[in-house]
Amino acid sequence: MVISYSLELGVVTERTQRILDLAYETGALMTGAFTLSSGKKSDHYFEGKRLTLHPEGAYLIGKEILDMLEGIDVDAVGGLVMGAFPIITAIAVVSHIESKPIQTFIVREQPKVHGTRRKIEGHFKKGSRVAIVDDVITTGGSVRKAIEAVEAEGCEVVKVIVIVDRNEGGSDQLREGRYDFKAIINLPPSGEASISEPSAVTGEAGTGILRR
Amino acid sequence: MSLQQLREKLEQGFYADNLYEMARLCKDMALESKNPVPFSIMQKMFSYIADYWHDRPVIVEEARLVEAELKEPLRHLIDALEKKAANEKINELVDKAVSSYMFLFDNPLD
Repeated sequence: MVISYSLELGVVTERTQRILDLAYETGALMTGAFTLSSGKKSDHYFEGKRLTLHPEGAYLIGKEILDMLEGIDVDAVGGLVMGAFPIITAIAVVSHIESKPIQTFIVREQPKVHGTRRKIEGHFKKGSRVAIVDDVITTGGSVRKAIEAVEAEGCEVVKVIVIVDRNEGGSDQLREGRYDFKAIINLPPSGEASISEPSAVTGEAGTGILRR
Repeated sequence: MSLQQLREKLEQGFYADNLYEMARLCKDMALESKNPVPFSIMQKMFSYIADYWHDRPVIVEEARLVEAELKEPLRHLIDALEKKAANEKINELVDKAVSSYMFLFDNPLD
């Protein structure tokens, strides 16, 4: 049984290679035959939180994204709940440790119903220059929601960074929209990936709600 | 929104985005129908599966199994609703669809 699998790092360094290895080790990157939310079939699946909530993974992701922002005039980094939450926390912590503090914020799917009724929480100023992060981009819905929220507050999005680009159209749309987009890991489009035998699933994808 | 739209969506298959769309159609039809129960029950089933499959790895085999078990009873139910079958017949088909759903899932009524 052969799993067709090719993926590449945006920039190959010791750190990005370790991020990729850790994605497998933590079960964040799974291989098998998966049905995606869109109905497309894929021979790989990325569950970002397994990587971004891992001690080493959080540190490496925070460090990598902070380095990717080096030299860019950016006031704050943020993204949409839930995927971006651990990422921006890691960025904030690493930026403090490295004495290059950067402000972070989170964008809610819906404005808070009670209390402040805010859609954007954290250290965020209207009209600032921001970077948007997320764990994975497929069609780009989550990233676009975050971008729309900050642009509605008069901000300029100077960079968009994701851990994994599934190459399902979302990143292309961002580039067409003239956003400066970067991914740490690039997966092949699902349409080009062959589907392996269903039994050949790695990770914990097999644990579902179906009766056994 | 119509039963024809729901039938078309059903034939497109079982995956999260489509299940959410079917749940939305059922909700709209439940709000408009004089017999909202079958639509409400279908809405609950579609939403439950979509919520669970959204944002997690769904093995193709699992999706196929759910589709194989549920598609046929739902087809029959939609047919009966379209033909405005007697309530007794519709209740019988709702029971069949719900039985298949309950057979498939742990905690199906949560």
